[in-house]
Amino acid sequence: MASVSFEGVWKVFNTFVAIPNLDLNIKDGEFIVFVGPSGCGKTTTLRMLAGLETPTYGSIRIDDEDVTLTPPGRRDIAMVFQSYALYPHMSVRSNLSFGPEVRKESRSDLNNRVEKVANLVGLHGLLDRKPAELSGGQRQRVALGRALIREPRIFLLDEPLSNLDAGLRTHMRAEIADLQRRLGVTTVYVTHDQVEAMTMGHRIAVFDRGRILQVDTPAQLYRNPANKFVGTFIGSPGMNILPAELARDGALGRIKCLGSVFSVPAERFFTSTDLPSRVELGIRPDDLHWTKDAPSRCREHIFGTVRATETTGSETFVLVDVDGVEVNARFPSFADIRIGQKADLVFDPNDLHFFEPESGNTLRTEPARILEQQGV
Amino acid sequence: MSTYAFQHLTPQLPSTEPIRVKRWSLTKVISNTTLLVIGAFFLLPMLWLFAASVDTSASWQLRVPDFTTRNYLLALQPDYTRALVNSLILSLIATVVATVAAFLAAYSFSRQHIPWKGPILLTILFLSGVPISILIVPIYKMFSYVGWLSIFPTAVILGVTALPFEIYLIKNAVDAIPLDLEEAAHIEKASTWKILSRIVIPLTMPGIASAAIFGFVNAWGSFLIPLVLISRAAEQPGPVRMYGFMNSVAINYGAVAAFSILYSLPVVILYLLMSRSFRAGFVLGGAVR
Ligand SMILES: Nc1ncnc2c1ncn2[C@@H]1O[C@H](COP(=O)(O)OP(=O)(O)OP(=O)(O)O)[C@@H](O)[C@H]1O
Ligand SMILES: [Mg+2]
Repeated sequence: MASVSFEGVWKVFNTFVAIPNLDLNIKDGEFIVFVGPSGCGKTTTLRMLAGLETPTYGSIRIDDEDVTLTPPGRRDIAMVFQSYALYPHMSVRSNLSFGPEVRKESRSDLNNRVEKVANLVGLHGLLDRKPAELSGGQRQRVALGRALIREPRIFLLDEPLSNLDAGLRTHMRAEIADLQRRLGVTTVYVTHDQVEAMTMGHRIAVFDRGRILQVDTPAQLYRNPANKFVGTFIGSPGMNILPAELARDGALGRIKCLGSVFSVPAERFFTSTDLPSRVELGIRPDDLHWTKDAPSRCREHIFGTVRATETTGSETFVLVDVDGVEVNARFPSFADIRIGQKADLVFDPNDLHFFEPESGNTLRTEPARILEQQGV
Repeated sequence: MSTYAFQHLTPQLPSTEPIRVKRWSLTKVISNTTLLVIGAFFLLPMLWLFAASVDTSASWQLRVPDFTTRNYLLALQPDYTRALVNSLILSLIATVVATVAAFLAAYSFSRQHIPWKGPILLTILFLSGVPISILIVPIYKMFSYVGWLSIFPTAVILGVTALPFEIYLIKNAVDAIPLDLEEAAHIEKASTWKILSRIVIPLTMPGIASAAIFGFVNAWGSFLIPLVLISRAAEQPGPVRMYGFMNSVAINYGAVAAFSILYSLPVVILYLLMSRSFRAGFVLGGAVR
């Protein structure tokens, strides 16, 4: 049980700034998920928290105790390495019991604990194999089991399920979430999987090039992305970004986009009265409907030609060319739609997001609110 | 599903000939003959050694022996066994000194930040090629000045001569261990000693074993250094003793051969013992993805 805070943390490798000025608070018992593109500094942040990497500037606190220079062994943290880092000369059983043994925990129930964890991660029957005799997914589960056998102050899980099949992943997701809830251990979880991030995290931190762009609950992150990057990164397929012209007309914002003109209530979407005339408009494929299968609140139409379709079974994502701009829309799977056909799309202006073209920041959410959500 | 249930457990093989890889080819014949010829050059002296060691009137020629055990009895006289024991003491001390020091040095070189690491390692590699004999005179002067002309200091010096190469061997082995493994153990609250003894040393074992064998053989076969640095005849090791067989007016080939065989036994045994650690090589599979 522990709270964590990063205060002005930098990490510079030689001349490469991997993490510029990171501020983050993680509450006691919280399950926080780090997402972001490859190479954006998630592992580096985790390693700094684990004590394997020393920050170049700033300080890290666990439970108000400054641990910036505390060696990893004294932080009471369990970690799953992205690379697994299994001990290759030891059997699965010894890999799992190595930690309790070196920590001189009682040997009497050690066997029980090993069996229990092996069952939890689905390794029963493999306990006497060496890591080289396991498949990739089995190795990953050994790495996970080695962390879960502990009851540390903090769990750091670096893509712990990335190598498992879909079924096992769903199962392990539930197991981890359940264990975390039961133990109440503060957990930092890195993943590239949207579903994992959205379903497991109390809050999600979106990283880009070493910066945290937004920390928020999954629902808030999806509904109110603080900027264009978060909007396009969260949700799959990503949000459509379209150029638009904006003019203020009393209580309304008048928008010209892809040949259609419509208006939205200004106070709902824009915080400042000083609006740029060119903006970027974001709309999720989920909010762009096929006319024949649209909720009645969708009043605005756009038309285009189908360029490509991509079906997942339950739904079909259709790439539509509207005035030379391609937008992705979600169609029901029964929609009989072919490449080259005309498509008629409708949407509700209330589902739109507006971003400032240069900075990419949203025009809807106040920066102050983002900070508040971070729990400062 | 039901169609599978009635099938035979072993499927029907195709009736055509199975694919065979051609065994014989000109290149294979030529290369194997060459190897056989080269092998004979090594095998013939060995054959001579075994034949001569049980021959009443052994000469430098290879011939069918008139069987006797006299040569072995001669080679097993207390004087000579004493020399074997000396060799053993000398080599064991040298091996332990060199391997322990080399492991610690190699680990530091592999893991620690050391200024001018590259040049220092190059120097070490260069030193491993320098014959120690060129230093024998100054070392003799030093040793005789402090009164160290005996077996123990000589053993340490012999260990030191093996040090540079052993450091290199072990450093390569440590380099191959992913740092993640040690970090994982650190996070598990393992002490430095536990990390070394339970993770690094077991994984470095093939390297340590080759280094130890190198150190042992290096000391076992050394002739000049013990000859110069050990003053008492009773402390002299095997090779120096063997020289005694040849110094007499007529060389006793049979005794030399018998002693040589006895003398090579410990090294053979050592290889057999260590072969397990060599086979444990490539243990790193499955550590990291
Ligand atoms: N030891 C190092 N020396 C130099 N640069 C490094 C080092 N470790 C990481 N980096 C750089 O820091 C950046 C962040 O790396 P990090 O491993 O944290 O990425 P990540 O977010 O975990 O990516 P992924 O999702 O691919 O695992 C990368 O650009 C990487 O090249
Ligand atoms: Mg990573």
